[in-house]
Order: sequence, then C-alpha cells, then structure tokens
Amino acid sequence: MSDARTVEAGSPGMSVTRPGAALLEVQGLEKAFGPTRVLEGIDFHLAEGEKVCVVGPSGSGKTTLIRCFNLLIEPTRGKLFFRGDLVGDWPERPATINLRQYRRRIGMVFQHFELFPHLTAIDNITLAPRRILGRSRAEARATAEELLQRIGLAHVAKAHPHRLSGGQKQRIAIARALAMSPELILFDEPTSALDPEMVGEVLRLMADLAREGTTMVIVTHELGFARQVADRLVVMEAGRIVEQGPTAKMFEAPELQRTREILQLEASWGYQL
Amino acid sequence: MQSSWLHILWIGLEVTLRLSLYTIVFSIVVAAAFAVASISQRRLVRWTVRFVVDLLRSIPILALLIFVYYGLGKYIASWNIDPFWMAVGALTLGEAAFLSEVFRAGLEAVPRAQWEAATSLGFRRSSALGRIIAPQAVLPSIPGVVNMSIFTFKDSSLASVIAVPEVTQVANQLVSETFKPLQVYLLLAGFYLVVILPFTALAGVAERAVTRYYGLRVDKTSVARN
Repeated sequence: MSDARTVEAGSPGMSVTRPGAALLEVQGLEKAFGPTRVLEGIDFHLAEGEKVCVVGPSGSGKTTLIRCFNLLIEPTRGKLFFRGDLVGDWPERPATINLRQYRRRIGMVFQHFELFPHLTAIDNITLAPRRILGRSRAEARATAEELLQRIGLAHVAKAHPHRLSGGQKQRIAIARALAMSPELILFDEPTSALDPEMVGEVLRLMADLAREGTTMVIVTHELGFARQVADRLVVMEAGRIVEQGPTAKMFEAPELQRTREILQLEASWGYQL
Repeated sequence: MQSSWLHILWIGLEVTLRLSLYTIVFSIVVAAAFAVASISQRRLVRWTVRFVVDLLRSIPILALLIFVYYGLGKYIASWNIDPFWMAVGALTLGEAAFLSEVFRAGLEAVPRAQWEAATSLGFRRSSALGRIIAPQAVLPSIPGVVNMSIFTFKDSSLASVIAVPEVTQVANQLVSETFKPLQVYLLLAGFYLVVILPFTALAGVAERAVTRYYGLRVDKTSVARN
C-alpha cells in the first residue's frame, strides 16, 4: 500500500517539491468569522514525511487551522503554499489554482468519520478513486481490497457504515483517504468521538502510517500518542500558536510556562498506546 | 342499473389514474429540479426559484387549472392541447411546488460534514450532490412523496371543471342523468377510498424497505466486532 501511494501520486507534474520548499506552508494566516477572530498570525510549515500533532484546548482554532490547509475553510488573510507553489494569498489573490485538484491531493479524516451511509464500506473507499481519479471499477476494487486487508477489515467490505463500530468506521474512513494516494493526510480529532475501547485500534493504524513515512497533521487530545508518533508539536490557544517545536523538547523543556500548563491540562485525559 | 354505473365510473377512474400518474411522475422531476435550484450557491437562482415556489404554493390548484384552461386557453387554442394535458400541467405545477420543499428539506437535512467529506476527496458540487447528498435525501423524502401522491389523486378531481372526463366529472354527469346524487357520490367516494387505502399501506412497506437498504436507523445490537 505504501508503494501504491508513491506510484500513484495525483498529478506527477505538480508533485515535485521545489528545492528547499516545505510540503505545505502558511504565512500570517488569519481567519475571522464576522467580528470573531478564530485564527491570528499563524506561521507554520510542514516537511515531506513529517508528523505534526496540533494540541490545545477546545476552541483554540486547531480544527479551523487544518481546514484552512485543504481550504474547506477559506482564510481571511495570509499565504498558503503547497510544494513551494502559491495556493492563495488572501485577501488579494484568493485560491488561484484549481481547488478540486488541490484538495484531492490532501486526505482528510473527520472526528465523526463522515462515511457515506448509503454506501458499503468498500464502495466508500472506491467512490472517489473511480469518480475523481477515473479508475476502473476493477482497479479501484483491487486497491480497496488491499487496503481493507491491511487494516484488518476485509470481512466488513460489504457492510454499510451503520453496521460497523466506531473504531471500524474510522479505520474505513482512513482507508477512504488513503485510496486517493494523498500527499498529506489531515486528521481532525480522529479518536474524540470513539468509545474508549476503540481508540487504540485507530491510533495503532495511524502509528503504522506514520512509520511508513506518511505526512500527517493530527489534531488530537491524545498526548501519549503525540509523544510517540509526532516529530513536532504545535500548541495552540485562543487562535494563536503558543509554541511549536520538536516533540521531546516541547514535553521536557518548553520555552514557555504556558505551554507546560496547556500540555499538563491536556494530559489529564488521554490514552496510552 | 348499478353495474352499468360501475362500468361508467370505472372508465372515469382510468382517466383519474392516468392523470394522477402523469402528474406524480412529472411532479417528482420538476420538484427535484426546483429543490436543487433552491440550494444553489447562486443567489439569483436560489431566490428566483424560491419565489416561484412560494407563488405556486399560494395559488389554489383550482385557480391554476382555471387559469391554464380559460386564461391561457384562448392564446394556445391553435396548439390544440387536450384538456387532459392542461390538467396534468396545472396539477404538476401545484404539487411540485409542495414536493420541492420536501426534497429541499431532505437535502438540507444531510449533515454539512458530508459535503465537506465529499469536497475533501475532490468532488465538485454537482457530483457530490448526485452521488453523495441526494441519495441520502431519498429516504426522508418518501413520506412526502406518498403524501403528495395522495393529494394529487384527490386534487385530480378538480380537473372536472375543465371538462376532463375523470371520475368526478363522470359522476357529475351520471347524477344529472339519474337524479340519484347520494348513491352515485357514495360510490364515487368508495372508488377514491379503494385506491388510496392500499396505497398508504404500500407506502409504509416501501419506507421500511428503503430504511433497511440504506440502514440509516442505527441498530446497536448488530454492530459487527472484529
């Protein structure tokens, strides 16, 4: 599956990173809903193969931030680059590129899974490769079966989502994202809606992906997972990045007292892998 | 005597059924188009359609029929349109306006996150609508479609005023020939009842079947475990 991802990268011409450029970068990102500022002055970059966890209290703007990355939410201000190419410069040059082609290169996993309830597990996985990438039915099925095999859910291929447990749904949702061979996967609190006994299976799958070198940005409250998997930690509060840095340093010797406090607060719940 | 009444009314009922069937099919198509347009991202399209729908909903179907037949009749006389098709047209407009609200509610009831999931996979709006959103709106719309069908069947009696020989019109004629209004109209009521009752029962069965198929009702006892 990991080679499927590299071989089938969306559009070959565009997937070459400019030398020295980050896979994804934002500068001075700002998002306001009316008078409410949800994000302010966000500078962030992500290297190919990097795993970054975004943590912070509820309402700190974590989800808004990653939704700005694939433009499910349009920034109010700031620049967004992908592989060194300008995606948009708000407010002057909002998203100059083809948004659909951009979005399909970035996978997204949602808190509430968002599987398509009218489709079986396997059809959830094959729908986008068939309709968006133009894969044949057989080809898309073969890839999907491989994915299901490897996440250990081949036996539920023909089940509709309502037949699946939360953990199974989220793993199918991850497989659905993987089937598009994304260059980066965004996770929006992927285990927050799960019963405790199902958190582990999802985190283990994500850890597997991380080990294979998948580039991931993960919004999470699972600090134990973040500590083991993330290369870098971004701590947010009130729409700003409080501090970001290598995971170990952030946990052991953060620059700011506030970072320590937030991490301590977040650590009061959590799951050990 | 009675049996020839039945026979005469039966011929009228056939017209009623044909009138209703055409109206129902066309209404579903028109209502779907209205519903899609009413959630358009283009404000002009959205507002125009919502205005038209509100307008049609506030006009009595009888008035629509009279307008089409007598109001437009003079100008389209040369087209030689059968009153039957005028009735289909007027009924369709009236019923579709109501049904489009049912469809719109169904579309809007699909969580916004489903749109986001589709968007994040690279779907354009139209294919997200067709492949992901609309199929989820089918089930919740079924009771509305059934209701509309029943109303259509009953409202088709209004076409009697524009000389469509449907069952109510036939009954009226029968009364003027036999002078037995009570008997004839009781029989007429029986005709309507006999068609509508099984239809509502069938609708319940269809709804349960679709529920099972889409499985939108969460069944906690059958959750699959690894």
